[in-house]
Amino acid sequence: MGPALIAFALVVLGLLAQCLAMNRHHEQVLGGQPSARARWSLRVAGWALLVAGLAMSMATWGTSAGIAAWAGLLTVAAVCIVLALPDRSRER
Amino acid sequence: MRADGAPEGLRQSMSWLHTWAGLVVGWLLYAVFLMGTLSYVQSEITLWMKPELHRSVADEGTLTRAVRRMEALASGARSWTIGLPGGRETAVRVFWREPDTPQGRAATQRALLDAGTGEVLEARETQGAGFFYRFHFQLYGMPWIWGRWIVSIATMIMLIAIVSGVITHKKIFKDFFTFRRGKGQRSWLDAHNATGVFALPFHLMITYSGLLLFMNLLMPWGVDFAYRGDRDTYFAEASGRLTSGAAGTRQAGAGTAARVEGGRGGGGFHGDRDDGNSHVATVPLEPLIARVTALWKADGIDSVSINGRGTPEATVEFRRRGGGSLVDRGASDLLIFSAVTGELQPPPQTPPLTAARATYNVLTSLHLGRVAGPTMRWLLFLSGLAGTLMVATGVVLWVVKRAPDRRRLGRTPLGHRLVEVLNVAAVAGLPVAIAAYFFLNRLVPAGLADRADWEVRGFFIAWLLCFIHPLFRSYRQAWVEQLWAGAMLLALLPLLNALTGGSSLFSALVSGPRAVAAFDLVALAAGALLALGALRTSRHSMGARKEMRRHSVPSEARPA
Repeated sequence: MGPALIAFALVVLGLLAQCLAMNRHHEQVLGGQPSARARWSLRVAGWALLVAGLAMSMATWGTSAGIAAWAGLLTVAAVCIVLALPDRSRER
Repeated sequence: MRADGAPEGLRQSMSWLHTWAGLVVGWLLYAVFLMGTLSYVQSEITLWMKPELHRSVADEGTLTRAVRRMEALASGARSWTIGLPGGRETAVRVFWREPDTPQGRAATQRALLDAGTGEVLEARETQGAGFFYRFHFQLYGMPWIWGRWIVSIATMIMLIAIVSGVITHKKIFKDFFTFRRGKGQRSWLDAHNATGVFALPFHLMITYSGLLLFMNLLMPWGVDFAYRGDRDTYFAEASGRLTSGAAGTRQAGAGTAARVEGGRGGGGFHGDRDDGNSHVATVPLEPLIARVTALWKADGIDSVSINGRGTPEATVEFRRRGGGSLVDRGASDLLIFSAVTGELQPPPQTPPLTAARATYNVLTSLHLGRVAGPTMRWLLFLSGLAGTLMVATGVVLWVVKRAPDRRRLGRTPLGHRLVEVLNVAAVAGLPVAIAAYFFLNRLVPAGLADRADWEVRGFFIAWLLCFIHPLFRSYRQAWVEQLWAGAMLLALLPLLNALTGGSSLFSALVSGPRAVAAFDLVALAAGALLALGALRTSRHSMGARKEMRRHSVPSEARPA
């Protein structure tokens, strides 16, 4: 369970960075617009973490099953992040 | 199909295609997705449905006890297999064939043994989750070939709906993390997009591999042409049983055939062809077991088979638990010993894997959940749930989106009414029917003749009632009532389990079986989810915000 949890953590952090790289969500979570530089850094960090998560998955489950497990972890991570984001219902 | 007759862009036509392709097969796909998702945990559900097996606990002595029992139970048999319980089941599954029986599965005898005592266990007669599994690809109550064609056609339309959906909902990647709550149509669209895009790789994989699994049914002509109609040769070559034209009699397929597949009650046999009357004694198995156990410490033994018992060629075959790769469909290590001398024999040769076969293997083993350990199985289960919710939110959205039309008309057109009824009966009704199936499993007496049929009949009667009920209720009332019914029934399952001979949630959490505890907890979670949906729907209807736009629409049920 250990390595699987690490892979999951990497994927969650990676998606979170991707999420914060988007203007709308950056404002929603941290307030204010990110600078172009911050957006770029978050995006790069996000991809790096996602790739690290993929590597961890493949090391844990083997190549073929690892890729599949990574996709599944992405699904669960995305659901968690979306449900954790503050309610935006009053906007728009 | 624009009303003003203006020319359509790609997105408009894709939107039209997505809407109508999705709607016509939506209800069927919902059932296929939900039952398919349950099939990922087929062994666990079937175990729950056989409370007689809950108290069987495996230990180190299980295999030896099972071997001893088999020597009594199948003393005359030429071949037998012992499938040891892994984490997903509790009892030992044994299969054997008496000599001079015809080839084929029908002549295979089977039994379940208590892992702790070796006694034969009599479990109630039930289809278990096998019913869901079969329904999800061939439906029920019709020739199986029709069912498979219907599901296949729906699957093809599903593939069209996925691709056109990615084009239609153009902002799914830009709005990746966007979920606006309590905004009526907007929220339903967000939920539909989120469940679709988050598990998009899964949806594509499951749909495409679903078609692959039926490719010989759907498109037989290529094979018929290349092999001049000789499909047997094609299947033999494709599965590696036949290489370069030479009929290998017992190659790599041997172990696979005797392999015990979790929950599916498999276990065919290679009939031993020699009918010699000579009886050659076999070596004691205990030393072999000890040797293999020491070798495979971490994984352990999955199954043990004896083939050609009593003949000089008799072999003992050990299969290791858990193959890791999807490429070879999770094939795991085999150790084959001579049953006469106890010597290790050379492993069977595996034919080289072609790229096409490897692709097929990866996709279909994912679809079937082979190889999957606990984490992987949970991920597949949750992804399947996302697919189920994607379809559900899609058909609900169809009605929500057309609320302005109905308001303009001042009434509900017959077509809309039909969709409303089918939406409630499919989306909320199916969980009610599934819960009813579990209730009947415990309430129909264990000894009743045809009890397995009564469980299935009960399922369909409950589902039929869910189709009739919305005819007499408003759309909103129908949703609320059926969601509550499903929530109640599901939430009561752990109680029912404890009261009717199963391992209660508490004792299952403490001392196992974990699969039973997991079933009870998932039932509670599903009940809570349906209750949440019911609350949101009813609160909305009575709530202070009386926007006409949201009239008669359950706008706030959250996605999982």
